[in-house]
Amino acid sequence: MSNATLDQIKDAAFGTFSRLKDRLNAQNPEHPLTANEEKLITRETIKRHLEHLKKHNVQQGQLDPFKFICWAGGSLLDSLWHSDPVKWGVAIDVILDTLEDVLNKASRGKLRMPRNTRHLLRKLLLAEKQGEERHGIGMNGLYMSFHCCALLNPNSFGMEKWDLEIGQA
Amino acid sequence: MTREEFHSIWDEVAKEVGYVESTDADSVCIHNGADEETIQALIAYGRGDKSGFPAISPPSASTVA
Repeated sequence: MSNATLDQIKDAAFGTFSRLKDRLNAQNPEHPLTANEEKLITRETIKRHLEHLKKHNVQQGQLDPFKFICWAGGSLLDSLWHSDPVKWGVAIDVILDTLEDVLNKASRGKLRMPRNTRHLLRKLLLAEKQGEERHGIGMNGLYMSFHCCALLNPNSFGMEKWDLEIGQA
Repeated sequence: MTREEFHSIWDEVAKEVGYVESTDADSVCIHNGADEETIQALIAYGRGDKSGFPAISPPSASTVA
């Protein structure tokens, strides 16, 4: 994959964020995001993203939409809705739905998360947010779980992939 | 929010956190998880062409908080 320009990366980030926002407003139709709330989450999401790249010295050849969705979800949970536990479950559903949207698109419908796995992921995310870190998973963990899953996508082959030995016995 | 506002926030934040694209040999170069077609569909989505993704259904009772 050739490297994208910075404008292309920002455009991909904007589209990814737009999908998450649409899902959020569909889940919470009585209280769609206000312009100020959207700006707050956008700023926090981009901050998390760039700090992540800087901290771990990550080269960004193209936007990683899975990563950006997780940071947006973290911003929603930890900034906008931090003091509103009733909404945490809604936020987690929105994050998982948006991650599945991209996984489904990227795999042409071949990779779908099993219902029970999704259910456990949801419980782990909620436990973390409720302060039960020993039983939880945060946004870095969520991102890596989807990243590893995305590498099994047949459309990713030729870029970075697992060594698959399934069925070769 | 418009695309231009989003880009503007990105540029402001990049300055605040002192981010510059890494190019050194020790940097991590990791697959972004999505192919070009998916990235282009996301870019189009931001421009208002949402045809690359399924319509969003209203929430079911089981998914609410």
